Amino acid sequence: MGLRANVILVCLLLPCLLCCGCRTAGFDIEELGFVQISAFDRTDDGLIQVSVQIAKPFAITSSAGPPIDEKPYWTVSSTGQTCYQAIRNLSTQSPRIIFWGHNRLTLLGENMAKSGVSEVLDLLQRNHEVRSSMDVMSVRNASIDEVMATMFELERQPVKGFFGLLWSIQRRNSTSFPQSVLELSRKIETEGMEPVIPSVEVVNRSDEETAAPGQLREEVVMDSVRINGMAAFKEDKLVGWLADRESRGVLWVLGKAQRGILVIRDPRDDNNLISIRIGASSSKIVPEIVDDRPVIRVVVEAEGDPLEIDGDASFLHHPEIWASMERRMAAVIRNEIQMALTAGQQQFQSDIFGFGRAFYSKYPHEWQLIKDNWDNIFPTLEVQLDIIANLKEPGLTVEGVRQAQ
Amino acid sequence: MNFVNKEKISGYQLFSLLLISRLVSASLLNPTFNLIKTPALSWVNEIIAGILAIALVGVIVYLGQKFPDKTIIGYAQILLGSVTGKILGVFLVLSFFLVAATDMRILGETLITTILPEIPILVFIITTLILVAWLSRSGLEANGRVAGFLMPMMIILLLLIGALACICSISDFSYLSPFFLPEGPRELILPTCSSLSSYAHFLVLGMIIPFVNVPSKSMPISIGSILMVAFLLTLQSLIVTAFFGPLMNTLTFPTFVLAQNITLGDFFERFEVMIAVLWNVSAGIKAALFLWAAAVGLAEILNLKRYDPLIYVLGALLVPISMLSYDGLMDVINVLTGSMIVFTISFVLFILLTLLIAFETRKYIEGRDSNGAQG
Repeated sequence: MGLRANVILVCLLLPCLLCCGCRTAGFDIEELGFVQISAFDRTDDGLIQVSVQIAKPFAITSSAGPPIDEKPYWTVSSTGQTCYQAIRNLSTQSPRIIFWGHNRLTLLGENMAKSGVSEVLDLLQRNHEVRSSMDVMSVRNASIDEVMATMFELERQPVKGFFGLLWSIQRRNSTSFPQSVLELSRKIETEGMEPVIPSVEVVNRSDEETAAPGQLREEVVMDSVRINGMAAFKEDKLVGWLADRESRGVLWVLGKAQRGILVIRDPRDDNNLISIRIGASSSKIVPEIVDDRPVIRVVVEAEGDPLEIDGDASFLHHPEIWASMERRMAAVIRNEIQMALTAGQQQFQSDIFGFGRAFYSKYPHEWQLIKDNWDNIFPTLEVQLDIIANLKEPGLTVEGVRQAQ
Repeated sequence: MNFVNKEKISGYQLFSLLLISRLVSASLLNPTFNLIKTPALSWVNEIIAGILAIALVGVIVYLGQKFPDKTIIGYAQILLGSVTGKILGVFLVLSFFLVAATDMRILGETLITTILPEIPILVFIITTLILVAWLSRSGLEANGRVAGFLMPMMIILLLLIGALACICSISDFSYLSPFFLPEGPRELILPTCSSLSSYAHFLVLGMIIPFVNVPSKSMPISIGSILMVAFLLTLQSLIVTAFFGPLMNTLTFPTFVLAQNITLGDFFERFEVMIAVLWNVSAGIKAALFLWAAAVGLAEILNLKRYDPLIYVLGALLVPISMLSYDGLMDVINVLTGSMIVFTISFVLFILLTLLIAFETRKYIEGRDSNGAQG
């Protein structure tokens, strides 16, 4: 190729250098509004309501900068016949193009969850901007407007507050477990397995004292949120709420209960309580066919450390007391699983434990025969529990402070 | 054909060109995934297709080594006669041209669907084709060097994304069981054929063999490239299944969505950008290879002394052909998961069997004649 042709080619390609930059969907970054949290619900007249929190970059300060008395986000809502129409209707209020690439959390309103969330999931998975690894939560006993209006005492941006709660509940309590949009969609599509996602509710603090003497700067947080157990689904519809201990029961079966506190009674005196910190745990779902009927055996192994002992704490030379505490720990775990089984099998009739999926994995041929009838089999399915509890570390002392007689 | 001796590629470059040509279709669209009914066993069809592809490539290289200074179009004229050979050559040129056009269209559709939806597809196709034609006109040697440079990066990137996906909390390896096909082994036929139809692009090997500096190494190198591709595709199937479970056969761009959803510690994110860079360069290398093959083939049919003047003409023709061949992304997927499978496999089998039978018949007759002359 001659020199002239090369020069022409370079001249043709040079304009490409002028086209590069931070342009998404044809707009500069200054023209975009970054969604941090989105919420979807269905209104009483059947429309889809979308509410989003958009970051206000000019109101976000670094720790070194002066404080700004302005919320670092803007909450805006709109409605439409479909989710996408509702999203596009947001543009009648937003001077910036709404960009979904940084959306980290999606909240599902109660009406929407009860009527089916497949429409929202389809939107979130089809849109190229959205990452379906974002977390999803279900709103309980409140509207999405109420949840989006809440604030956190320790975080200026609600998205950070929600993530802090999710992290904390997973690492400290194991009464809920983060789920992404992708995981929710995957479980809906999986035969023999139904999804559970964290549920969030509003904590009303409007009557609480907000002013404290000596405070230099007062910030009033009226309503906040808390994570309260999990929402149980059947296919794409919400069928009920799991309380904290029921949720942990589900997580024991799924092998996701990693942290939290179990309270047992002292084997020597039922009036005294002992706090046990849950350590590592694992579970195994073993499907069996006994007398031509499916039976499930769940084996849970859990470790724990006694953290707080009310009363006589001298276990050092009493291995039988240690063993008794382990049995009581196992009994507490068994109770929590039983509570979850009752909720799942009788109350919701939804296989949130994935027992059907376990059957399919071990007995794929037999599963083909029973899968269409699984909804009728599951509520009366026999579930045997084998709980193995081990207490490990006594902490920094082997004996506690002597109690007064 | 006097341009065969002007440029040579090494065995490593041949390996790189073949590997990129096959992997690019799997890292962009992977239509094979859309045909899978049981995601847990999606990896099985990749292994079967790899084994069948070895047989396919074995025939191409076997014939190529019998005529070390001739391309497939060149020895087709010897085996079938000038006219029939040239007619077969025209079909081959058209097939190379169509592969390049489809490759460009898929690249354009991928970019406008996943990253830049507001930009007209024509912009991507034209700008990429300028570079593709430039690379193609620089010859197979230049393309081989680019492929040799890119191939290790491509493998490392795919392995890196696979490893990151494995340690991502979303991955659930229980989706890889059980080893069970509800509808029996017939479930595997269509996805295996789909994967095999992408291997059928290795027909271009028939054009490359005379340009390899050590033709005798073509067989182990070609088989090695198939084994490496089959390994990577099997790995891809396993990881995508663990990540998406029953959703894996609904995805339009599995590798992109996988990379998009990888997040490590809320810090390492946006791996899809690396995938997009990989798409552009590897799709360009594949298109340049097939454009070069079409130009070389056409030059042979027309008895031209040089093929390079044809490159820009064919490159310019690729724009309307790639735009007019498909209505849109859905049409591309429909064609690639339907008629294209049947057409590609039948076409390659027809070409190879015709040439193989002609060669063996000719060998038999020549052997009989020489025995008769001795007797």
